[in-house]
Amino acid sequence: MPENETLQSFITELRRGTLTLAVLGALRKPRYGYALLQTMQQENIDIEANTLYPLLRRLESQGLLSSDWDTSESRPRKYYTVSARGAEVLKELLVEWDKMQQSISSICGKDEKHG
Amino acid sequence: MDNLIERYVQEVTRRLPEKERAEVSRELKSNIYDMLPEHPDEESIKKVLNSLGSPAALAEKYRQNPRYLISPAYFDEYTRALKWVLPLVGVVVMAVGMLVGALEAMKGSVGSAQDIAFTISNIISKGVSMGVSAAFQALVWTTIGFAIADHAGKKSKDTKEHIWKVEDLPELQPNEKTRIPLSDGIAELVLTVVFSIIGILFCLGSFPFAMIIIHDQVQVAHIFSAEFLAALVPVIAVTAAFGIVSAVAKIKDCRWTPMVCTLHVLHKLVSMGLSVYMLTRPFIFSAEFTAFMKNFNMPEVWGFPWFGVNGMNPFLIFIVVMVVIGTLADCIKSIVLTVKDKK
Repeated sequence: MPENETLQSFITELRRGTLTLAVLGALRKPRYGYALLQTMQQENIDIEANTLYPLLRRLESQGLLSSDWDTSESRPRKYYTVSARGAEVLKELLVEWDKMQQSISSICGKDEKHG
Repeated sequence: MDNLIERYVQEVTRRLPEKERAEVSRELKSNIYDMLPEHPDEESIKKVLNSLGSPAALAEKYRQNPRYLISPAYFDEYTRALKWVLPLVGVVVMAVGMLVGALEAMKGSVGSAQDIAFTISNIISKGVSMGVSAAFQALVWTTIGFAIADHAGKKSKDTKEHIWKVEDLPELQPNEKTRIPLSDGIAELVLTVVFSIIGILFCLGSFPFAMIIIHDQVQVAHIFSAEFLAALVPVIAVTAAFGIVSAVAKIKDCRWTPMVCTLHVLHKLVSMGLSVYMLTRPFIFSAEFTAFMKNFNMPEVWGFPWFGVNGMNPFLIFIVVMVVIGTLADCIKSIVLTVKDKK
């Protein structure tokens, strides 16, 4: 059904931009990859493992996350946390997010009255 | 069973830059084991690996910057270049190939019906095979050229970023009169190449065309002197070089831009200068031809024999004047068109 596909692609597009926000927010406390994936899924954020893991690596190389291997357990795990810069970026993004939400609700709310 | 995971990870990491492989491999393995139950059976391993998707796609996501042979920034120019380079090179080389085919066939045979069939098939096969292989060569080299330019450009991007300015906008599409049809440029190029090659082969004596009849019997003799023909070869080559550059510029810009005009006028002036120089040489005609012409009682104009004698004669002066007038008129016309195009 092409109608549905179009809608799905809009939804995917809309979500994609917010993933960074969600990941940075969730990593204010250290988490390893799979735990983060579960957290996200619990919060109904639809993200695949094969998107999240590369995203973590990219955010780290951009200096927004820092990582640490924990080798004390039976299997080593890589824990990610937001870096100082990542925290700053997260703050800015949240401000932007609020602004956007206000704009959207104001625009769409108006339209509703007219429509 | 471990094998499956190892194999999957290897399929991903082998597509990544060497220095990232170890880290990604370690991380990915750790993540995969996290996703599995304590003592996984093959079924659950397969399920997890399936959920991660194809290793190629995953590797693509892991790659920091997507890799291109030619990046989107250059792709537009690349396809535009291919659109005129490929047909151009293909057609020109095909014409040369047909000429080569004809010469080869001519060398090997003397005109029976069978030979004509052979000649035609040789012309076609030589033309097509050389044209196609040249087009492929052009494709390969254009691609390599763009790939190198692209990668070199990426490195120097930080130092001098290309900033687009409003002033960079091209003028509005010029009026029809100042446009040069693509076919004109290609035809000019093909004719230049073909006639230059024929001319040079003629000068080198590959064609038996220059025969004259002496005393009712066919006697092969060159009209032109050997010195003249030898001097003509570099002249043709130089003129052809200028002509090719000017034709390529026309094919590329397709209108009378200052660059096209400059190259065109330059080609015309060089060709005029060399023609006049060659026409005023004192050794144009061969001794045999001069002797032959002396058999006729040529009318004399202003005390000079009309034709066929070395040195100044009215016929040559007439040609020189025509060449100069023609060239100047052509140059003026192209300059006028260029000025119109600018407006």
